[in-house]
Amino acid sequence: MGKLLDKVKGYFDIGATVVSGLELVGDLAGGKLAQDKPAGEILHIIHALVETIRSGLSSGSMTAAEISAHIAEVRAKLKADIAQNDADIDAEVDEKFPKGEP
Amino acid sequence: MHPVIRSRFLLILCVLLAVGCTKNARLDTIRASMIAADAATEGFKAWDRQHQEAIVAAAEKGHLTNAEVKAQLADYREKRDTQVIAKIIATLQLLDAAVIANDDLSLKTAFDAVKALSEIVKSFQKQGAP
Repeated sequence: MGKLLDKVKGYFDIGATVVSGLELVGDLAGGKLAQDKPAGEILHIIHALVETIRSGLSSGSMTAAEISAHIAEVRAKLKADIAQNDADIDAEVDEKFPKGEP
Repeated sequence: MHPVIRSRFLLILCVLLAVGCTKNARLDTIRASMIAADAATEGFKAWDRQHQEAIVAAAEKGHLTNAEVKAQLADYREKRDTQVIAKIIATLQLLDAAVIANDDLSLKTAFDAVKALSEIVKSFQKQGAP
């Protein structure tokens, strides 16, 4: 009985975690991004997220090795995307603020 | 939140919760945690770009030099890398460890890390850093 209760509790916790993760993106979509970006761009971001989640969902039959590979892919993509953000912003700064000029 | 976005979130949530009801509880937990970590990561990447653009926009009003703007960005990036990116990477490593191992502790540790991740990201965003 104790094990069953733990398992049920586990499912609730999983749900809470997923909700929390989605809320975070929801906050972004409904908050700061919504103020600055047109709806199409927000939906593009949501679409990217949906694709990410869909790839996770298709893992219904994923082996442990495949999950590991996915985690490695997420990690590599995070680094690449953040580096791309930085490079784009640096280029924008160089364009808007010429070096040596106030 | 926009109704279209809200309905998409609800749809995703329903499917995700359905996934949690299959036989292999351990892999289900890892998968759900992985998806939650993915969601937090995607959200943060979008926010990061917006925040850096906001720093640049504010600098334009302040008539700063190229070097001054770059210094502000460097300050933000250092905080971002140590306070958020490192935590995301660590969480992903814990998830990976839980996939390889077969004990309760590794699973609980990874699961707790994923739960904490959203709060870490939210807290960082609320700081408005810098």
